[in-house]
Amino acid sequence: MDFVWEQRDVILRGFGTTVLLAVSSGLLAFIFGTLLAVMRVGPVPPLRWAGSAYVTVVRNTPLTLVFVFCTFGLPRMEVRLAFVTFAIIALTVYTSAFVCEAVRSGINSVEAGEIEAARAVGLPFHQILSLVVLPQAFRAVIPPLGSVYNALVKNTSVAVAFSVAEASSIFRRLANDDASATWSLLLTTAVGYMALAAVVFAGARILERGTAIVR
Amino acid sequence: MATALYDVPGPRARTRSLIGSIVGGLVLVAVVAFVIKRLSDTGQFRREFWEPFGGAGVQRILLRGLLATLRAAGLALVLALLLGTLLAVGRLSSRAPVRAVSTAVVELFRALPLVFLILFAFIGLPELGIDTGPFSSVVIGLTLYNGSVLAEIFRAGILAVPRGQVEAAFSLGLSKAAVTRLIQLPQAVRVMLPVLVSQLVVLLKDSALGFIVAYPELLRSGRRIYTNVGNVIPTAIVVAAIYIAINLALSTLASYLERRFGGGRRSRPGADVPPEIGVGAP
Repeated sequence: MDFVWEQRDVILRGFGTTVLLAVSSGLLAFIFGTLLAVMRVGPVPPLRWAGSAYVTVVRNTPLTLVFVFCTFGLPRMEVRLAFVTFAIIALTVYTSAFVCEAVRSGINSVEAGEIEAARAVGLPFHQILSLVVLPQAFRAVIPPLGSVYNALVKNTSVAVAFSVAEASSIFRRLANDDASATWSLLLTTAVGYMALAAVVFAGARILERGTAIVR
Repeated sequence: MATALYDVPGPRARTRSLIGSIVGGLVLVAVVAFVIKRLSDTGQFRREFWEPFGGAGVQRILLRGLLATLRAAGLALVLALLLGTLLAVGRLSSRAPVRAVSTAVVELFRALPLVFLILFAFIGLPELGIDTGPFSSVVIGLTLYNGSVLAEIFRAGILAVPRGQVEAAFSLGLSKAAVTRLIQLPQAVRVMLPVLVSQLVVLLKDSALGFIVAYPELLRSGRRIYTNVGNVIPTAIVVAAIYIAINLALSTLASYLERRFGGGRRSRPGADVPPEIGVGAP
């Protein structure tokens, strides 16, 4: 345990990077995922097709492959960015598809009567969506979205193979430096991940309770 | 319902949606054209980048990688099914300690990243004198993670069996074990089959994490190709196409099973199970 204590700054910085990856790609994926969901339920066929094509392709591709494409592929297209930025792009591209599906299922869970009523009072499509459907959809979407974000926190660890010093790669490096500390490092890192998972879980719970309405 | 979002369009709405289609289509075409231009400007469509995929050598590497992927995923699936059944039965046990231990195991392995579980098997277990190579590390990681996810799916499936069935079985004098084995599991499996197959898609995708510990699966084989030829993007596209083809076939199977077995009474076994998303659900 002494070694772990000595290296606490390094380990904490690793988890800091994990949180940075999760939060920034989480926010971006929320925006893109919602946009994709709107495209997929909207009345414009080309956008609908593009949305479903994106989701189909990304959902069936391993995240590791998305990382390979971003980290090693984009520089071949003369896009040069930091490794952390590539990781954020890869996680955003991947998570957006799952956010889209969660939001879309939320939109589909809004009762048809609500939408018909909104249309009957003459709201145009964008107002039906922004005033009536999405507020209710987001409420229904919090539990599935919670598991998408729980998965995102864990998915940040794929960056281990792509030169990002997040928690798992710090673990691998330190275990390499001092093999006798492997198990205390394992335990420490596991506790860190579980703490992050607990934060996401608690956040989803609070949001769920805060937005719940008694029908 | 999404279909309620808009009416059968009248003439004005049709004009508007036509304009929307044209504008949206143009934007999409512009985006795609930009990406393709960028790809061709940087020479990604060069012959020497794509020609290797026609050759027997490269094809053999990819085929061997695909077989390695299927081997790891297949073995992990079998082991995960066993572990999942064990944990699900444990979680539904009438003995409190068994329940507590199973719950703790499930929650632990669901909270940890799959990458971390693979590293645990790859770096941690050898410290205890258990010799694990890349293959066993991938299989152990996939088994622990998917076993605990499957346990939740099984549990939900078992709980979805109508109570009357269980009560009837008990009243016939069957023991608890017999009720689980003869009444609950057979009915649960039927309902769970589609969810099970979609979990297989997740497992197959996650096996690509073998990349990290240099297990020569499909993606790693792709790496062997692009480090030799320097064609990262063409290789990534080819490998992605293989993954997508296999996973789409599996998804089609899943929706067929859903139609075949899931129809009629809408018991949704996956309702409180997280949606399938890879690596801790990659």
